Amino acid sequence: MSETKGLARVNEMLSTDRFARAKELRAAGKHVFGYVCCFAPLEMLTALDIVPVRLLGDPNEPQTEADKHVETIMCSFIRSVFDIDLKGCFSFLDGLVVPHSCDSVCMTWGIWPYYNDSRVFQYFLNVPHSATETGEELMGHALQDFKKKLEQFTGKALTEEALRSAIVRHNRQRALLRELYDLRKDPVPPITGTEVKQVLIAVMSLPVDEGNALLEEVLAEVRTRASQKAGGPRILVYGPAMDNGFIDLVESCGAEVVIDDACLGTRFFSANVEEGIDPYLALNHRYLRDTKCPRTYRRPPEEELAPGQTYNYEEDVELRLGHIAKYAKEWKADGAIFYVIRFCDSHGFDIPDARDSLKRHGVPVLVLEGDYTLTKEQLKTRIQAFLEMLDQ
Amino acid sequence: MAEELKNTKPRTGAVKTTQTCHEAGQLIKKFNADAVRALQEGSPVAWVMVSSMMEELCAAMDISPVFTENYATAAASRPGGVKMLEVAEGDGYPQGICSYARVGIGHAMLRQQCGCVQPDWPLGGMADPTVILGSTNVCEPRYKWYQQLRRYQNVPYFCGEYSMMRLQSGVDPAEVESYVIAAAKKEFLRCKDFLVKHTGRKFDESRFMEVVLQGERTRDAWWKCEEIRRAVPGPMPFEDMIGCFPIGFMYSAYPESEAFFNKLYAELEERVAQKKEVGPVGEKYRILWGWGIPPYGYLKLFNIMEEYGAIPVFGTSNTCYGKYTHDDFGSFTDPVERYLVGQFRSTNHGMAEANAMHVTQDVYDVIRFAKEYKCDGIVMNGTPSCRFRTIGQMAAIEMLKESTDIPILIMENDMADPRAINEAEIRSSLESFVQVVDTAKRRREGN
Repeated sequence: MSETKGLARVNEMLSTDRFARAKELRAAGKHVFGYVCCFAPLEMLTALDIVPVRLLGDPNEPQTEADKHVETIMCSFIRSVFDIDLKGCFSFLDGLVVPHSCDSVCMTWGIWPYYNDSRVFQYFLNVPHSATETGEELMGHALQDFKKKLEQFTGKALTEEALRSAIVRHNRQRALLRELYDLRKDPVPPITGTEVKQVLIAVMSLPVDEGNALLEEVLAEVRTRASQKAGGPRILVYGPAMDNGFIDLVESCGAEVVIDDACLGTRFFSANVEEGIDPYLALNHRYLRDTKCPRTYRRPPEEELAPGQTYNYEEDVELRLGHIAKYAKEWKADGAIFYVIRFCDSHGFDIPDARDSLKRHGVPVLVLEGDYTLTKEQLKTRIQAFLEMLDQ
Repeated sequence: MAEELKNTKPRTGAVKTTQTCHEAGQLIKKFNADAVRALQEGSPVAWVMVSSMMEELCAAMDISPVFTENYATAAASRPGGVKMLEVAEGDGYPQGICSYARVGIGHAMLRQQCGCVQPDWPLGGMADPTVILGSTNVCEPRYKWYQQLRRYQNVPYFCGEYSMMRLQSGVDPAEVESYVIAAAKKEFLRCKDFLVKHTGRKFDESRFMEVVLQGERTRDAWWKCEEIRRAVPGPMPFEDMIGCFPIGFMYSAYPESEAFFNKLYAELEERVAQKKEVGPVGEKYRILWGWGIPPYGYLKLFNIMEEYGAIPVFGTSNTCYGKYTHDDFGSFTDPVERYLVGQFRSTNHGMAEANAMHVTQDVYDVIRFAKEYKCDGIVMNGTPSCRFRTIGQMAAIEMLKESTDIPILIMENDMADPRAINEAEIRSSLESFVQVVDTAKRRREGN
């Protein structure tokens, strides 16, 4: 285990092998599972002493293996994850958990085990698409099936006591991440958006308790630091995966990314799992209802209206997307930049509503669409023009 | 000038072979006209997403359905469809998202701008909905699209949670059927209550049972037509079945649909007896439309295949996949459960066999139908704006190679965006493919 601490440890992890610790633990006899997206109930893995690590792509790696086996008209992020898995980057994993987040993930799952059946445990968690009573009922079945399969794999019972303990520890992690994000509410934030994202990636690569310890070190260090930026426009970023250098790019143009609504961002930790109720019901609520990903359908109020009553569409948009404007207000964002990965239906359909919602709240928006691998120079020109507009 | 260009656009639709198939278009037009008339008479009209467990429900409650995906396929080959795509894109919807949805959203935006649908829109536009009925079954655009329609139309919207009606690879349908059906029944009854509230129509259980039984008879009559197409030479090409598909899939609850398939069967029986061939040069090669949504803006591609004697004898899309009724259907006294079980089993047909072979359901369909219909080649179509019906095709080729050596071609043409269709490439790729099919067939036959 590394001797470095805090941000130095984060830098070390990301510049060498972020999975080094997970591999070390595996060599010592622990099981290590990889997962994608925000819908894998990590608490269930932790409760069985399985180390969950978030799988990300590599925007600098040409998708040569994926090119052989999978179409290009799909999310280039998940395509990159698939590509580097086929190249052996995740060969240390005992298991893979793929939740039903979106069509690209779901359809990639259809072929994934065909190309890599090296892992003993490969599981598709069929998360329903709507945060409704029936969705909750189906999610309950999905969680129970997942429990059964995990118990079969480990040969151990997933006890309620262990699950409750895991929930507390993961909630602690969420609270620490919120503390870290809160530091960026400061008019002169002591940590950059790029650094926050790096911390997040590092934490997602460690067992929960070690991630929490690292976060405590980072928080202690950052609280005593001076501002890391000269004070450019404060920006909210919106989109799916943000591990592709997009935040770095925005900050290199002179902005400060102070907040996000992204898969690799607030969606990972913004909501806790409720403690003190049935743990499976709590997980159900947290992952189906409270994870604010646009892949989840939320019933609009008008379904409950009486015939002839009209509804206010803007209210419905606020129900679905109002949290973005709330973030912008709390973190005092001067503007918002969307980076929607091409062929992402979930985010693509929401662009007009999310854009207009922010504009109604007085937040100017720049919408960009592109691949997981960034065309940096083209994007830079548009971002710079937007930032100049904000400065005027 | 642009208008002149539109008006002189060469034909892109397919010339049909069977006589009855010509009547399919008329029947569908009649169903659409019924919706327009219903609206004019003050009766309710529902915009319906197919495979949302609502087709039979609308029929039983005398609510006229308008199938918006169908409308998009019709718009794809007509002037005005592109305008709808462009209008939606102008509000910020990316070109990569479902083209059916972009057409539908564009229609709603133009409807909002113009105050009413215009007669020069494709098919005269869609009748204004009283309610919109979507679901989470199949793919994301099916609920995201309808959610967005409300940005432009103040119409009550219902979205059914049916995301587990279609299972993922590896899941045993028998293991989950009971709880999936129990959950689906709740959604179905919720939808029924929603329709009662917003349309004022009544739901009668015995009437619904009649509709369910009618739907079963229609689908079984449809399957009989598919089965007889195994004959050599094939009596009916795939493009004809594309035209008949909505009658079996969306309008199965109506007696005229069953009558239609019975008539089609009689024609096919006669064509088989007389060994009538399809196409200008007859049947040299039997082709399976193996996977993917056809490019509705350029169905002429099937006629191009036929010019080379390559007859698309069957398709694994736009079809039913077997006899709809099961032996145990009689044990279901509750019409809702009977209906939902039928839908669930039909959707997950072949899943157990696919799981046993460690392939996806789509690949299993291709393997099965290529064999059953004695095909010499397989053509697939990747759709740039549809993840659900495209991802996995390349992998399928590798999976298929383990069980068949017949040549496979993958084309890429969008389903409802004619701007993403390359006519020259279609022709040249089909031309080369037929050569490959010919060589492989000769080799197989020892020539």
